[in-house]
Amino acid sequence: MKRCLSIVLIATLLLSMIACSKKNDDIPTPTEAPPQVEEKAETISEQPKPEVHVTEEPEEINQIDPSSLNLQDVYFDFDKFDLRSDSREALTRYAEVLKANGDVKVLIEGHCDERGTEEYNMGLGERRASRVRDYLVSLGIDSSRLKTISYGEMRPQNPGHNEEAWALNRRAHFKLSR
Amino acid sequence: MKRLWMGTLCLLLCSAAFGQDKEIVIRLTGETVKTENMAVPDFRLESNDPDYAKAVQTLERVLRDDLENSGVFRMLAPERMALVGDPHAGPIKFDEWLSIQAQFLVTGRVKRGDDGEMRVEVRLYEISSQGQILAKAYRGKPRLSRKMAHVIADEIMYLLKGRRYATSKLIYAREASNSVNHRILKELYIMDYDGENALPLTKRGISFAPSAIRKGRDTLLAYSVFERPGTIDATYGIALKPTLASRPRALFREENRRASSPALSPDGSRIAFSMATDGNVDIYVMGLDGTDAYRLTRHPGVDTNPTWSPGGHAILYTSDRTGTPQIYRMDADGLNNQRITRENPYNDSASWNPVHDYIAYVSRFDNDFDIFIMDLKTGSNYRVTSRQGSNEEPCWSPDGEQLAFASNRTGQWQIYAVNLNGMNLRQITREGDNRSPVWVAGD
Repeated sequence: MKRCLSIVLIATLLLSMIACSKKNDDIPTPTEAPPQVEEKAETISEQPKPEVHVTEEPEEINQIDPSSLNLQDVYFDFDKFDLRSDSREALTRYAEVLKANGDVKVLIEGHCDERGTEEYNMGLGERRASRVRDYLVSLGIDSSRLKTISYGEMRPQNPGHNEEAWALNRRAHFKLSR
Repeated sequence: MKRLWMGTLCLLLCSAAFGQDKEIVIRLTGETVKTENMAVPDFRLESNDPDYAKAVQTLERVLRDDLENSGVFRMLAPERMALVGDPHAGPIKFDEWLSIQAQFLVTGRVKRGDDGEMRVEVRLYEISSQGQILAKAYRGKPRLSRKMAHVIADEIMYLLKGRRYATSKLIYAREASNSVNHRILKELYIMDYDGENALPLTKRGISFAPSAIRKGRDTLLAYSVFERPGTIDATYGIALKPTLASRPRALFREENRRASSPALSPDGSRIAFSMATDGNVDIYVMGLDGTDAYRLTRHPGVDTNPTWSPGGHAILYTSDRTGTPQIYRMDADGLNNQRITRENPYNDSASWNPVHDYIAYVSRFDNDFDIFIMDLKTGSNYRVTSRQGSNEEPCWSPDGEQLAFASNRTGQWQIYAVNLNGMNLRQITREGDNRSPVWVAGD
């Protein structure tokens, strides 16, 4: 058996030497796929399970109801972030309230209606919240008491899909704490 | 839509002219593509294991759907394949397959493997050359028959067309079941490109605006996430998962500066994003560790929604510097800004095709959006959707031949896909509200 194997080995070596000595100028024939399926198979394995990131539900601490100080939402026109005259009047009142309650801190949330792309609405909400903050600062409120955030179109006040709902959703909302 | 009808008409005319063997399909963008007939007769089951019959049926169905989704192969109907003898009995009779206008033939034998695994032996033949292109075995548990079909479909697609998509994945944002109207929660999920095997990536929060790329054998994921939403300490920022199996890292947390809208660069080395500072939103770019943030746009308006060119040399973004949102292009270093869209007051959500010189974007009409494709070489626009609800957030498949998007045409937000030739529109998700798809290569 061993002898047989060595003969085969030598023969192979000789053949390959002949093959190597041959000039490589003939056109290579395209390699056909093997007629037989190879024994070795590609393994189809399960995907590793992704890690799920669980956000902790936030606790609401020291929050006070904005309606207790009568700070209602202020509204914006479609696709706009500038303050309407009714909003300016309301904010002038709110500035007096905030001056009278010097320990109250405010988060101004900018919101949009659903008629816009999610990403652009995040930006539009930032601008709305920032306009409200700037106006309050111009009325003498210390900017360290005011923070802003945008929720884009993600927290509608009214879930409807009509003009009435949209008008209510384009707003700045106030969150207060002491 | 008119274009689509013309395409269909042309298709009908062509098939009348040339019989059923070769068709010319008009792409949405005016180019022509050839479709060819592929025969995938039922596989031969060489084991009577009770699990196998069902698994093989699934495998055949998914494989045919995958190949049909290429937009360039049409599956021959079973009645036509029945005219030809059993491909598993003896050598392939190529003349017979030619007589039913098959250009390609896929055969399979399913045997019993080790450890309860199926062994599926697949062969692919080109009828015209009478050649065998593929002879390969695959093994896997019967319950993984869908994945096996996707791997086989990608192998065939890669051999014949040099592209893959069947193992690709869609990552998307789903409205959480415990959402209420005033308190929307969003979770990110990943699913197969055909909508199966959805798995959650985040839970119990507001995670949105995903961006994902394939880096080696890992999927890199960046997204926007709210922290302490609904409270006075609410903020948001960007989270990064270096692999889907790893914990997310919070990137770039600064007082009074909020980052969102991340876009991973194609080489997976940088993140373009938008950052709000005092109501001014601009585009920045940073490293994956959240350092070296560099400002790219300097306008008082909202600059957001960045997306990279396939080579990473340019960035498309949306800016309202002229008063309404429009799409702009800049070099990756923030230079050479130029406006891309002009035709409509509100254009956003640009996505650069990874292969062709096209961008997909949305344009607003009344209260809804429709999806358009722009050929960057000519500047011509092609309409993909036409006033069927709102159609938003387009993204391209890794091979650039398919487009996924979110639409509320059924009353709920669902994800749809369509081929670049405007054909084969299909609904991918069915339950709940699903938006913001991103398409990423898989294995």
